[in-house]
Amino acid sequence: MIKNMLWITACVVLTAVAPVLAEADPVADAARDIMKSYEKAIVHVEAVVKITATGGGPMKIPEQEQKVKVLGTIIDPSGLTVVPLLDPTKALGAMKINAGGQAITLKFKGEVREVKFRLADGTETPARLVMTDDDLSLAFVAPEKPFDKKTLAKIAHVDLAKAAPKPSMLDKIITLGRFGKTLNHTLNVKLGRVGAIVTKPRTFYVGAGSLGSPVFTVDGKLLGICTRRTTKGATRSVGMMSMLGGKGVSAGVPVILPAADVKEIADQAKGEMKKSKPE
Amino acid sequence: MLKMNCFAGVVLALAVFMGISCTDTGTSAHRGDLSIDAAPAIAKAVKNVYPSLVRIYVVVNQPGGGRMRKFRAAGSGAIIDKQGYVVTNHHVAGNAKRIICSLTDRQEIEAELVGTDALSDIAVLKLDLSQLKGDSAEIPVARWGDSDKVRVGDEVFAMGSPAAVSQSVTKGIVSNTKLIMPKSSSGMFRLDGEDVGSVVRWLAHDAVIFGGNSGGPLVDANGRIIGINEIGLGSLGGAIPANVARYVAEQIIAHGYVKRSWTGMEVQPRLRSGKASSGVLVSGVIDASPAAHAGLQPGDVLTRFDGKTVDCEVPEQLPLFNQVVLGTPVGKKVNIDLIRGGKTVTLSLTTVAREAALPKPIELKSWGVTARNLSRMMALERRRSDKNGVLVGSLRPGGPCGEAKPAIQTNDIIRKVNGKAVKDIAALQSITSQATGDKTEPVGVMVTFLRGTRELMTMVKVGKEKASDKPARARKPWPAVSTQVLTRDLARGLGMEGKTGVRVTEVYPGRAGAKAGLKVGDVILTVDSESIEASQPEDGEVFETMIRQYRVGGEVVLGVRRGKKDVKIKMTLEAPPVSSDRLATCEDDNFEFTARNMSAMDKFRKKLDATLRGVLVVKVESGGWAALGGLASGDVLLSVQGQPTGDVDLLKTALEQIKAKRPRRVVFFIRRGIHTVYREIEPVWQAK
Repeated sequence: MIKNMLWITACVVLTAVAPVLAEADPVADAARDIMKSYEKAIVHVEAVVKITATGGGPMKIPEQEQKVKVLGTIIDPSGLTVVPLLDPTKALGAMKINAGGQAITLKFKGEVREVKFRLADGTETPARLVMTDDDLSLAFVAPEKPFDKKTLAKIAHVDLAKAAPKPSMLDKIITLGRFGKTLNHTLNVKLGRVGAIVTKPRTFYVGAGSLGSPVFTVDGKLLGICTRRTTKGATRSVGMMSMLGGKGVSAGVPVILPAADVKEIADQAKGEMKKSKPE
Repeated sequence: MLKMNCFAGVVLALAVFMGISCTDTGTSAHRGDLSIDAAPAIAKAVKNVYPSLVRIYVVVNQPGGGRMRKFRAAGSGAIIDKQGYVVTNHHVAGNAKRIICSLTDRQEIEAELVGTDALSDIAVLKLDLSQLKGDSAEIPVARWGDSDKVRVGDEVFAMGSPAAVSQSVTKGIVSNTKLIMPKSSSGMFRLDGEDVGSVVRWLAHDAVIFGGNSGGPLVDANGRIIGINEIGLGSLGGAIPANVARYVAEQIIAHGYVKRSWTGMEVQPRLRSGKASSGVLVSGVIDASPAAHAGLQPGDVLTRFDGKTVDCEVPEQLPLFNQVVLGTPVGKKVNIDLIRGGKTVTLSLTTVAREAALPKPIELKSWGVTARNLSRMMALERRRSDKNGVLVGSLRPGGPCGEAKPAIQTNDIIRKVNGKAVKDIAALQSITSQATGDKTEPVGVMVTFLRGTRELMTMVKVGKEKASDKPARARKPWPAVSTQVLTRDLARGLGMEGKTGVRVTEVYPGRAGAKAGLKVGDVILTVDSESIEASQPEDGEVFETMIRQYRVGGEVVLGVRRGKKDVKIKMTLEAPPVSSDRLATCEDDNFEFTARNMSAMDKFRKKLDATLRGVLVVKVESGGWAALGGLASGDVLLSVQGQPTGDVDLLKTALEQIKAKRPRRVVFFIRRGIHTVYREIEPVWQAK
C-alpha cells in the first residue's frame, strides 16, 4: 500500500514538473546571469556637439548644436566607458551638394561638449571625452572627477581582459542594451548568432546588438563591443544626403569588434587618462 | 593725415593712413647742425620749427572680435614746451597703448599720453626727457602763431614724417582759411563718435602732405605753428587752426582733458526762407537738457549767447558758434537772447559739463566682449532715462557671451547680473570678480539685458574658460608616405585610364614606407587586393583610412604601378609619430603667442637638423605684442633674452623670469626657413 502510494506520488510530481523540465533553456539562464552581472555596466552617455560647416562659398551655414545620446559600456572600475562616436560629423567626408546650380563642397567639424553619464539608476554625472577612434567608430569617456564611493556602488564593468575565444559561424551570442527615455531606460537583452566573420582588414563579427553594447558568448565571456564599420571616402549617398546630392557619406554596417581589439584602444585611453588626470 | 577724396562730387571717402611701414631712409638732420640752402624766409621757417619735429610711433588699441586689438601706426608732432609736451592728432595717438618718439637728432624716447580730444582731433604727449642722452637735455621748442591772421595766399610749410620717413618739409600756400566738409559728405567727419567739423574750420593748403604727416605742424614764413595737419582733401591738405589746437593743448596740459559746456540745444544755419536776418536757428532741444529746462524751442533764432552776438547764415559759421557755447565755463548761468514768433525773448540757461561722445572701450576678458559705459547722449539716443548699464561692443566668437542662450549681441545693454544692478563697467567687473572669486572653472551668472525695447535674460558662464575637450586619437598605423589622389585626368595622363588610387609624393626616410621600398612616383592601386577608391581630390583620406583599419605591426600587400610594371610591395605597418596636438604647449598671455615642442616630423618637414633645439610657434595672436614685434606662426624659437628655448619647459622658465624682471625690450632669436633673425618685442607690462 505504502509502495503504491509512493509510486502514485512520484507520478504526480513528475507530471507536474515535466513541462518545466521540457522548457529548461541554458542560454536564457546565461543571459539572465549576464544581465544580473552587468546591468549596472550599461549606461547612457549624453553630449552636446557644436557642428560647423566650412567651404560653403558665399552660402553661409550657421553653427548648429545637436544633442546626442548613445549607449555605453563601462569597461573599467574607474568608470571608463566605451561608446560609439559622439560626433556625428565623423561619419561625413567632404560632401558635395548642389546649391542653386552650383556644386559646393562642404566639410563638417564637430566639437563635443557637456559630456555626461546617465548611470543605470538614472544618476547624471559629468564626464569627459578621453579618446576617439574614428576608424573603429569608438570613443572613450571617463568621469570628469573620480567617482566617489556612493557612485562607485552604482556601477559595474565588463572586463575586456576576459575575452571569449574566436567564435564559430552561427554561435549563439547575447547582447545587453538599454532603451531610451521612451521606455524608461529599461535594460534589454537580445539573443542572436554570429552571422559572419570578417578578417580583412581586421577581424569583425557580424551579429546582434545595439551600437555601444557588449556582446557575450553563452558561457558568459565577452566577445566584443558592437560598433559600426564605415568606409570613409567610398562615396555612397544615403537618405537625405542622396536627396541633396550628398557624397562621401557611409551609413556603415553594425559589427562586433573583438574584445581584444577594444582593449588595445582602451589601454591607450587609460594612458591618456593618466596623462591628464583630473583633480 | 586723414585722406579725403571726392568721387563725382558725391562720395567722400575717408581713409586713415595708419600702420605705415616704418622705414628709415637714412637721411638725418641733427639739431644744431641744420644746413639749409634756401631763401632766407624758408630757412627761417624751417630753422624755427624743424628741430622740434617729432616722428611718433604708436601701438594703438582698437576693439574688435571681443578683444582690444593692437596695431602699429605712425604720425608726426611738434614739441611745444620745454617740459617735453608734444602736440599731435587724436587720431595718431589718442588711443595709443605705447608711444615712441623719434627726435630730429634720431634719438628715440618714450612718451606718455597726457590727454586727448577727439572733438578737435588734438592730443598732447609728454616726452620722457630722462631718456635723452648727453647734452641734449635742452630741447628745442616750436612756437605758436596766430591762425586768425592767416590769409589766403600766405606761404606755408608742412612739416612732419610722410609715410613715417624722416622729418620732412614741403612748401605751399594757404588755399582756404574756412574749409569745412562738403555737403556731399553730410558735413560729418567723426572720430570716436565726435563730429570734428562741428568745432574745426580747417586751414586748407597745397603743401604736399601724406599719411604720416598727421599731427605735424603747418608753419608760416615766420617759423610759427599756424596749424596742425590733419586731413587730405583731393590735392589739398587741411590743418586744424593753431588757435583751436593751442586752446585744446593748453586745456589738456592743465587738466588732462578739455573742459566744455553742454546745453542740449541743436542748431543749424538759418533757413533761406526764414524771416530773421541774423542769428542761429535752433533745430532741436534734447529732452531734460539745460536748454529744455530753460524753455528753448525748435524754431527759436538765437541772436546773443552769454553777451556775445551770434550768427549763422552758412555752415562755415557753425563751428564759431559751437566754439562759443562749448567754451563757456561749465555751470555758468548765461543769458540767451532769441527771436520767437517775431518777438525778442531772453532766457536764462545754466550749462553742464559735456561728456565725450563715446566712453573708452574696455575688454572684459571673462565675458568675451568689449564694452563701454553709456554717455549721456548715448543713453538719450537709446531713449534711456539713465546711463546705468554696460553697452556691449564686439563679441569674441565662441566666448561666454557669444555662447549664452540666447547669446548676447552687439548693442545690448547689460543691466543686471545675478539680480544686482550694473551701473557701469566698474560695477560689472566687481560683480564678476565676486561671482568668480578664485574659481578655476566658469561660473554661470544670470544676466538681464536690454535689446531695443525688450528686456531679456540669459545665463552667461563667466570666468576662466574651460578648454573644450580635445580627446586623443587612437594610435593607428600610418602609410609613412605622403600621397596625392590619382584623379581621372592624372590616370589618363599616366596611361592608367580607369584606375583609381594614389601617387606617392614623398617617402619619409627611415619609416615603414621607405623600409618597404616605396618610391616617389609609385602609384598605389590596391591594399591587400582591395582597390583604393580615390579618384577626386576630396578622396585624399581614403588610402590613409584603409591603412588605419589594420593593426600596428600587421602586414599589408600594396599593389603598385611603378613605371609600366605592376609590383607587389609588402609593408609592415608602424605607429605614426606623436600627433602634434599631443605635444606639450606653452601659451603665453603676456606676449600673446603659443609654441609647442617640435616633433621629428616638424623637423623633417622644415628640413631642419635633427639635433636643432627649439620650439615651434603655432599661433601668434593678431594684434598682440608678439605679432607687433614680428613673431610669426611657423617660426622656430631658439632663445628668448639669451636663454635657450629648446623645449616648452625651458621656454616657460625663460618667460617667467622675463615676466619677473619686466624689461622694456625682449629679444627673441628665431629660425625662419634658412634664415635666423632677432626680433625685439616691447610689451606694455600689466600692473602687478
